[in-house]
Amino acid sequence: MESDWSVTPLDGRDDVVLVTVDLRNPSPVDRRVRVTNRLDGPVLPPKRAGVPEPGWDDDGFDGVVPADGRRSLGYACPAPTKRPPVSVTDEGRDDGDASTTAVDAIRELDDPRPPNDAIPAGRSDEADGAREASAATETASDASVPPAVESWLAAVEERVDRGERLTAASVETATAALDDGGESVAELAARLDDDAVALEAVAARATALADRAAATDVPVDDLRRLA
Amino acid sequence: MIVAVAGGKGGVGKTTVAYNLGAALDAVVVDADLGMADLPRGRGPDLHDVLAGGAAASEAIRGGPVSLLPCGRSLAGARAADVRNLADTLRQVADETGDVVVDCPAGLRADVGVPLAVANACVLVASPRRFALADAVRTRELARELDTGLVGVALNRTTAADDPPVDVFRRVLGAPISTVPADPRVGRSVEAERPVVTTAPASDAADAIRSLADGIRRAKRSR
Repeated sequence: MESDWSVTPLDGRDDVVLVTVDLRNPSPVDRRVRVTNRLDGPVLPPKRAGVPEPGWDDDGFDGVVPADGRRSLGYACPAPTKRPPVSVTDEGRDDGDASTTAVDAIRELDDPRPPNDAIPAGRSDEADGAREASAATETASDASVPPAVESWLAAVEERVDRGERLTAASVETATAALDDGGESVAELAARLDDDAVALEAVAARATALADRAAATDVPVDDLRRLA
Repeated sequence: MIVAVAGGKGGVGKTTVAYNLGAALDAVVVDADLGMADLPRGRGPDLHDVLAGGAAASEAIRGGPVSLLPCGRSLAGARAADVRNLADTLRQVADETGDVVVDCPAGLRADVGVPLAVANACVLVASPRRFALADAVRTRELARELDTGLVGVALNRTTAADDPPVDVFRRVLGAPISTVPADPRVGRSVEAERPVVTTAPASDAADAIRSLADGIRRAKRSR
């Protein structure tokens, strides 16, 4: 196995480098190769749909270079330059035992998440960080919302769900939703209009109260001295 | 053993078949339809919370006539759920509880691909119409690519009038076909939490579900 490598700093950043490795297999059989990162930082491999390309792991790359063929790899690493940046190990003839996994399915198939634009305003999130934050707010709200409010919100959510299933639904979904029983469609529409007004009012009042609550600063120690 | 219940098209009764199969196999039924959940939800954490890292899978499983791992119904929850965690979640539930039946969403996105990739076997649900073959074949192709064997096909909601194209489906899909008649007790079973194999064990529908379950048990033994 012959290999060449290069290390270049990322444009405008001196703390991240891009490493490229060119592997050439002059032998007449497919050969398996292991490329291990030697820089002092994590490997940031190429990704699709948030999942690393096949062969990449935390320390580098495992893969096959075809007979009389070549393969080029590249990754980023937030670390200072070091020479050589990688070590390349020839692991011998490839025995061809590739099997597909859940990770392959995620990489190859479409993202199942609803598009961000479909999320009701105020709850949209963009990045992984925000995603965790929204999960956190959900659990927090479950824990701290009074039971009466929670049960009212749950009832509203059920009606909204049913409304959503009837909005631009296929005949089958709509039939199923109508089959669910409960109030008639006209009643549902009226209730949903009322719900929307009530929710807006609650949201406005809750925001105002939350702002006021956040702005207060009770001087506990001073008052304790007074008492 | 993990069994994925799939079928490209929506509204063909995947959830109903998955729920009743769960009863016949005494398995936990996981509602993996992250965007349009169907199984009764109840209170407490659900699959959205588990996939967003907010709860353990075992916390989200709910007892009942059939044990369920329900899924949330909010779009925000569906957006926050990370499908990359689905494979580990399903394996973990299988390790902790035994057999798992996964109710897959419609379509051919990653939320179908992951259960199919993790599953040891899959069951397809289709309408008893010739045109339903197209979606069934697409889903079977995906299952094949992901190394998951097809152990049975449910032609769902057949009526005496429409003479289900059983032979065509069997020839094209190469798997045993069970016809589940359009029995209102099947339709109600999920919402009422009354699986037909226990509430109407002598019905044709219960027979069909049991024959699917037998196919799965055979696949399990031959593993």
